[in-house]
Amino acid sequence: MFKRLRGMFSSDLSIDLGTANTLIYVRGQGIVLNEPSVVAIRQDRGPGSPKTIAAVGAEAKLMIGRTPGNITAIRPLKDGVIADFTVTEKMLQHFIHKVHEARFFRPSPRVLICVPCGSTQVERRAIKESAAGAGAREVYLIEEPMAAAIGAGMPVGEASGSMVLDIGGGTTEVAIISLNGIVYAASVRIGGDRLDDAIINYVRRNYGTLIGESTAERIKIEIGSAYPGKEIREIEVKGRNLSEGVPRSFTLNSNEILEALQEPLAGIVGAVRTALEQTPPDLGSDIAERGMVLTGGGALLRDLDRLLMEETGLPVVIAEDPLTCVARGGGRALEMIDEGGGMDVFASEQ
Amino acid sequence: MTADVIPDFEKRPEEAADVPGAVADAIGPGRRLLEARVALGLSQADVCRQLHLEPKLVTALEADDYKQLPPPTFVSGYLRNYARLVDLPVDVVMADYERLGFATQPPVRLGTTANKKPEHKSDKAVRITSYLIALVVIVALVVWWQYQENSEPQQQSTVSDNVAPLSPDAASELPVQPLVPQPPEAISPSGVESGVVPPLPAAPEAAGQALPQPGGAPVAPSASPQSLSPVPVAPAVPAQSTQPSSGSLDHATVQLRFETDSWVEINDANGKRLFYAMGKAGEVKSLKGPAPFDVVLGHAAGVKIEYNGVPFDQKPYTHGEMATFTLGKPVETTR
Repeated sequence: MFKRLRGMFSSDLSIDLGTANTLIYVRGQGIVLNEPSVVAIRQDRGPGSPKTIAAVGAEAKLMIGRTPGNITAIRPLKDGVIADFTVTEKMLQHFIHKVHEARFFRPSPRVLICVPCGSTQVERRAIKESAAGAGAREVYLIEEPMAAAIGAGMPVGEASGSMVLDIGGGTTEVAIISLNGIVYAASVRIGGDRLDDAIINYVRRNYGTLIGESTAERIKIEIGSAYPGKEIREIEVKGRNLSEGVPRSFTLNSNEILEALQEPLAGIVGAVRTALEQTPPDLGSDIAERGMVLTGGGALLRDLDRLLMEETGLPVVIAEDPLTCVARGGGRALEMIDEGGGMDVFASEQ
Repeated sequence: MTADVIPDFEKRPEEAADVPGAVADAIGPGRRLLEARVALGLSQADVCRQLHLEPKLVTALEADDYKQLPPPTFVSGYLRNYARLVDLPVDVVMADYERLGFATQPPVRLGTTANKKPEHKSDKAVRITSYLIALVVIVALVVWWQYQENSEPQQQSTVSDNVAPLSPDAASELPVQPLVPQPPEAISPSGVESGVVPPLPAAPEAAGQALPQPGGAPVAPSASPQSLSPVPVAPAVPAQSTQPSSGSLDHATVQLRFETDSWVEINDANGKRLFYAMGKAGEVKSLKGPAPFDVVLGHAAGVKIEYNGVPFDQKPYTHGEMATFTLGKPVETTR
């Protein structure tokens, strides 16, 4: 009863609980939070002593790879699912409070969380309980590709096939949607993190130098490319030379990064091909005419749409503001609850 | 469609190529893309091949015929891809598109096939039961409230009913009783009724109840002489009920018969403490004094009280084991 009362003073939230970033969409306000899914944990008195949260979000991300012995910056989600239940709960609690920080009452919002379509029932339950533990009054789950398609403005309710490819930090989801339902969906555990790892491995193998996750991500964002471009871009990076053991500076170009990313990109293309093979012919013809829509942070990788167009022979378009599509789509689905429809877009969780 | 076939509308921009500035700004994104394509020497088929779009879609794009095109999400993507292909700034093309007003995406309707949560058979029964329970609770609240409203008058009437057996005495104990000696002729039954009873607020009712029931009146003839005034007792029944009153004002009698040990406190009308002790079982106490008496019984069930020889029932005034009441008052209320 008190939760219901507190709920009157809380905003309904749609949370894209991603491996890399957590986005929160509030009804009527839009995206109000976009922070890295990183938590810094402090443990002052050695192993076994109580842990406290040192920082969450952007502040904690700055600490990755730069922490002293008593602080650990961790990412509580891995491959799109919860790897550390307690820390995820704390992180969600922090974000929910941050969204409601001006409120007098402890917030108790209705929360919709997007889950990978390939997540197991156990993983879904973990996410649901984590949100409930963070103070949510009611928790709804929606599959990420469905939310992404809604957020991208695709006609998911029509009797025609819509194909969406959501490339997140931990997973890539591909789905064919028609009449508010997912006809086919697949999830591969390849995402932005795998691209970063591929760059780290490439640099270590070819330059004998170790670079951190943050550096790898910066390289990917600045000169990363999925298809050979007209111009070659370069970036100067610093890493620890493995043979000499001292930091060294060197220059990487976009063609090298393209080479480094070949393996994970081939995985994504393979998932799309498989989806097209599995699509019923009528829906396939709709998709062949209109094309597929890219969402998620991975869609921002330069010329990824070009790569997919060449590999599949289909039109490929990048959604408007692809990073926030999932959160916005979740918000729209949440609105539909009050409007009395859209219940069949939610994911089941027993 | 082959690359060499150029639709008629493609020639129009070339004709208007001399028109600078304002006219050029007013054109749609399709026209702008078409101009750029022609300037680069690309055919529509080249665009179809590069963007993997069907010719009819490219034709519709270039003609700014958005009704023939898929929803805005796709059109925005096609325009961006096309702009990059022909080396046009994407922002400019998109600004043109937004200016046309087609870019605004209608909210996605999810409810077209979404059924409401299926109603279970038991849902209706549960709902009706809930309504019934709510109704019963509301009715109970209203009744309780009404009862609370009326409880005080009811309590008063209950007390007066209880006093009824004592009413002859009560009437006699009122201060309006003639303290001044009255001539014998004035003390007739009719005189008593007219002179004594009428001034009392409760007496008419009490007397009215007492008078028609001489046999049922609790006034024992044997008890009345003790409290009788010197006025000769008239044989008439009304006189019996009124006679004790004349003399009992100053010397009312209370007899306590203890069946069990009980604390008793009795004060008379002047506040004088007549009894203030523990009565032992089997003991009988008889007290005299001016009425009314304030009585406190520690264990009410174990004490029998007679007031002016008339048994008094203290049960209505008993709370728990204790009873607190006033004896000999016209209208008795609990303290």
